[in-house]
Amino acid sequence: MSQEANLPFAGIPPEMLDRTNALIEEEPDFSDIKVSFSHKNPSSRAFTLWAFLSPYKFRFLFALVLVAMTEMLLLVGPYLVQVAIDKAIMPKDFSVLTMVAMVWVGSLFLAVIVSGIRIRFLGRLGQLLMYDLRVRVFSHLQRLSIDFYTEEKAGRLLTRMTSDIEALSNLLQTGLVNLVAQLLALFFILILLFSFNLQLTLILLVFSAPIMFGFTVWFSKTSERGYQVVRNRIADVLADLQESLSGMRLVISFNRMKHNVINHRNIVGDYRDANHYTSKITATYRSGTQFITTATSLLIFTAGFFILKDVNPSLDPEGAFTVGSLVAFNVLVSRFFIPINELSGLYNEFQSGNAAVLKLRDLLDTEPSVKESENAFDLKDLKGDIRFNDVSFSYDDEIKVLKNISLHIEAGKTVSFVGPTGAGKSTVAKLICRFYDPTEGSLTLDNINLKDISLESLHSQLGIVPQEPFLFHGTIKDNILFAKPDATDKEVEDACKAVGIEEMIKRLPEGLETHCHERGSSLSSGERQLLALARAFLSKPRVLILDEATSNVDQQNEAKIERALDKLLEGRTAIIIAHRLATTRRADVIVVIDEQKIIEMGSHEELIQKKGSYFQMYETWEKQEEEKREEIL
Amino acid sequence: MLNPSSDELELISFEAGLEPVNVKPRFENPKADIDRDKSKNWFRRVLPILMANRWSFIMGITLMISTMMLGVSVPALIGKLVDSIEPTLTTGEISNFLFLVTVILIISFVRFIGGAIGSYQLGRVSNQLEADLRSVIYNHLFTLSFSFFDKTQTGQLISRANSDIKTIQMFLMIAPMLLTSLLSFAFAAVYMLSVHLTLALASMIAIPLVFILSVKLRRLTFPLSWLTQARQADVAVIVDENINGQRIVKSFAQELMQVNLLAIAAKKLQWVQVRSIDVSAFYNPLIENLSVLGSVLVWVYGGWLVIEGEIGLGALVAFTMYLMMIQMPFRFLGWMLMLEQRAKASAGRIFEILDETSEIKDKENKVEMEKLEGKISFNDVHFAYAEEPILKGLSFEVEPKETVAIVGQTGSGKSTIVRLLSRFYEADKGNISIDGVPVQDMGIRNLHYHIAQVLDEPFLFSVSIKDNIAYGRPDATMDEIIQAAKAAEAHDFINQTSDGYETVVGERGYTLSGGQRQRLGIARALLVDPSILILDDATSSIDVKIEAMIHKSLLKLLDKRTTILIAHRLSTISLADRVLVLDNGKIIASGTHEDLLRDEPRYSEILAQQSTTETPEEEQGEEESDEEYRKRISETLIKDPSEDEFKGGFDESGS
Repeated sequence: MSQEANLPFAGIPPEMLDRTNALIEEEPDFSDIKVSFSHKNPSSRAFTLWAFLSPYKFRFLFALVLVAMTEMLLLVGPYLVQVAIDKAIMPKDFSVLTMVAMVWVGSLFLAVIVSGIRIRFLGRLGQLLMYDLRVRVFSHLQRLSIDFYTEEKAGRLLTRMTSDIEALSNLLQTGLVNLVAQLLALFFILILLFSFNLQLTLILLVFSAPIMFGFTVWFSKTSERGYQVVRNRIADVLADLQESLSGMRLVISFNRMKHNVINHRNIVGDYRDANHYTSKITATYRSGTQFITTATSLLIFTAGFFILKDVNPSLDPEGAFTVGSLVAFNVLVSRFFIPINELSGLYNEFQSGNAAVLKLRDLLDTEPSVKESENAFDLKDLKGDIRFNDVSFSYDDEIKVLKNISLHIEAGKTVSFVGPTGAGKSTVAKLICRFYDPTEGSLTLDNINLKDISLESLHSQLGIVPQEPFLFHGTIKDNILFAKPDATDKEVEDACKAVGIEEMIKRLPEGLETHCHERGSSLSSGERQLLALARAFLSKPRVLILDEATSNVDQQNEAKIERALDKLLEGRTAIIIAHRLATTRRADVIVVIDEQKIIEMGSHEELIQKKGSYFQMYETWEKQEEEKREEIL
Repeated sequence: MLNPSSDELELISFEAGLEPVNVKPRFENPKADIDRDKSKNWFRRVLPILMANRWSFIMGITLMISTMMLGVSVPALIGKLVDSIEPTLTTGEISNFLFLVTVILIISFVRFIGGAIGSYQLGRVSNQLEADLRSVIYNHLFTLSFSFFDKTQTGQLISRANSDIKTIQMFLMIAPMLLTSLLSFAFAAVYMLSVHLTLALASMIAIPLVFILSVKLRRLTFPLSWLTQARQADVAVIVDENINGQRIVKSFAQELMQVNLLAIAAKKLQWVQVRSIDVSAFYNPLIENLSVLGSVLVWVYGGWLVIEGEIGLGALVAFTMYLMMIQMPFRFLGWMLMLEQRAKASAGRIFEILDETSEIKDKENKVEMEKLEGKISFNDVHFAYAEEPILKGLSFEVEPKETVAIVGQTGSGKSTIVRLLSRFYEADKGNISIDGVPVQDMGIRNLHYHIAQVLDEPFLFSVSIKDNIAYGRPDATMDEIIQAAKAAEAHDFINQTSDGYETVVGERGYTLSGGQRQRLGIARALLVDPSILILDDATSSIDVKIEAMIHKSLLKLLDKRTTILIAHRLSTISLADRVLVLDNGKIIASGTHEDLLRDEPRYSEILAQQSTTETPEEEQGEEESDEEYRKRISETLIKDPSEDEFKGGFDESGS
């Protein structure tokens, strides 16, 4: 059951299992959700907190009213305490006491209802915003061009969509609301306090409030730092454990147990010390706030006592300030500290929320380097005639990767690009896919400038098989279907047959439904590559691009792939970028690229006869193959 | 091996001289082990470790209890203070009032210091316990045999070492604090009941309700926060895949489908979060305001009593303060009970590891050999990993200083021979001996001291290249290390790395190729200068030209020791004095390469098959499963759900 839910933490306590399963049962399917996506950025406005929130400003206003109401209701109690003491207990008036009881209980009822509504309303609003933001940021990620996805960025991009959005959500749902709520609370309490007694309130503001505020700010800063250290240290501990487990054979066979035991103890010790530190801070803070609260009470009582002492009953016949008021004042003081603590605790939330907004703004403001032009149109029924018109390309505006390439690839032909590593072969493929735009010159497809074709229609008619086949988490079928989600089972089967993996899939425990990443059923690199070919086959592309697709394949699968290619290349334009010249030979035209330029071009036979650089490459390659075969015997 | 009664308890017995150490201990070893008696309950089994830190614990608990008792007196004293105001005002004698103020101030200051130190001590004890438990588990792992690691996934072990230990730590930290505050409830209740019975009972009327509601809330919260995490992980997985597979997404124009997928995942996340919001919108205001209901009763009913003259205003003040004090533990009691359940389950999972014992142990009167000649003999050895027998009566001998290659098909048991020789596994039947001594009679460490092996996929640790080579001999000089690296043809490429020998493996994207890793593995083995060297497909990924160079230097080195080569490249096999042909669990032929080619038809058959079908024997495995992947993603991004509870923690001053 828990397997099906694909849940992240392995351990559900057994007593929680039923409830958790029941909840999963209840979860709606949501599979009919459809959102729109366009390569053009629908919103030209910069991402700021205000721009983000302003469409909802009336709802926020309503939420504010609710917040103000709850905060006021919270203060009814302390106020009634004062009334009870001054108007009922001291004058011995039962009827007022009954009134107090009724009003107080009534306010509690109201508070339950109002804060219930407030939590619901704000929570739902916040979640709605978060959902929108997730989809918006993700759509923007899809819009950005390939050059944006460098390896070093991968980890950071993930945090944009996860922890940064979380941080923003915290800021909105607890941070901002809390800020408003606590400021309001503080404001109301101060009004009440001042109305009770001016002098005492001033004493409170001058002595206790700054101390409490400073103390809590200190705590939230230090403890955040402390927990950061704890997190880093536990990561060290787990990394060390992981490494020892993975290298267990070496540890044992080199007799490194003692070394490792001591080393691990040191790492664990550092972790323990980090924990000690946070324990110390927490212990100090908890006891400290208690002490400050009691000390403040004492301060108020003492000060209040002297005020009472100075009041001449004859001058103050109405008894505006009594023992009762003093007690009631004290009840309020304990309420006074709540907003103080909360406000100073908000510091971290604001910092991380603000940082998240800035980071998300940077991301959402990034323009894709390959933009869909305003009047791009859908190119239907691509034939696959490709032209390079004097194309030059450079990744960083400094070093040119391709220089003045002009080339015509006729529809339906197979063209192979060969040349040393770094000569620019793969760039050719990237330009045809329009992952990048050429720095100079232009590319045309069926005599239409690539830039005038909508990205969607372009990509849906291209198929690419990269060197490292990327498989998504999911079943083999899901992965094949990736290229054409609405394909029938028959089509999937045909694709598998075409590339010759149907046998291999049959052998797997769950056939097409086998998960690609599960232990035990992991596929070899050759099998993965075949799967990627099946994927490409299914999409029936007009132009197929094999970008070093056969270079990492083991001998067993090599022959299969060659056979699969026969089927795949039929009836479509194919671009093959290859190291292995076996794949190259089948091409109609071979293009040799070296030092950013085309140096030779022609069929295999032509180039062999020419005895140029292709001939040389081919000779060395053949010799190597020969050696390999000899080595086998 | 374990002797918990001895004073200087070391959890693994070490043998001087055999075990290289290159690190200074900065912390003392755990002072105790868990109770090995499986019949005891989890808490009693952990108790020895707790008891090893008993002084801190006793100090902490004593301080907590005494400050708690001091704390209980504060409201009563404040009540007195309030009651003393009127009389003092009339008499003008303020010394009594000021005396009370001073007393309360001192008491609360003492309570502040005592409480801080006390709860810090308790925190320390639980931190220490966590650290000790970690060390105990870690140390225990080295005493286990390889059959344990075959059946246990690394990810599982890591998660036990992470969240399970943390759960126990949390319980052991919270429980004493909560128990002392329950004690304070008892004291406060006694005071309140003694002052006024019915008022006390009336004021406590809401407590059971608060308790029930908070238990209920926690029960509802767990599945919700758990599912929230799962859905967060789903979102993260989709994003992660789209970042890494963006090229595929783009090239098949599947952006819309992916955005839809994400929208569904985000919607599910939204759904579960809204559900959590609804639950807390119902329960939290109820619990908050029910707690206040007690105060209402105290003020109204108590106020009535004051008017009647049954109690004083001060007592009323004291009552309201007590009410705050006693409600708090009940809000967290339910949580603690739940935590106990979790801690018990976690402890169970940890004990599963700790109760595992290895069948491979040193004998009482083990033989320690200072030098080996290097004569190896296998006599009628049988072995099976599980059901399927892999070695069926294997016999062969290797003479001292001889170089022998073992050739056989995939799965024929070549690597198993090596593992049995190193005693990673025990043979089911038959004898394996070195220099005539059965390997079972030799000290395990002594055995490993004399044998070095290089595997086809050498594991490198994320330390510097230098430390990786010196792994078996951390005391080696730089010259020795360079020499070993040169013999393995690794010196040149090491020098080309950014920091040379100091380059940290795997850092800053610096990855080594398979061949480079193998060369470091060879250097590592050569540095320890073993009597028996095993190269298990150790040059399979190395370029043919470089392999030839390595062979040249190996030829010199192989003369000095017994060497076993497991190989399928002819060039490697040609290094051997003799080739053993392994088939169907037995050695079927032995002789020089040329002799075998001539006389043994099956030899050339096997060679041919080997080279075409050699998909590595044990390469399977280290790919992460879906579950592990999700876990990794979610752990790097999302906190453990208990962390929040823990940080927000239980705050007895509660407000």
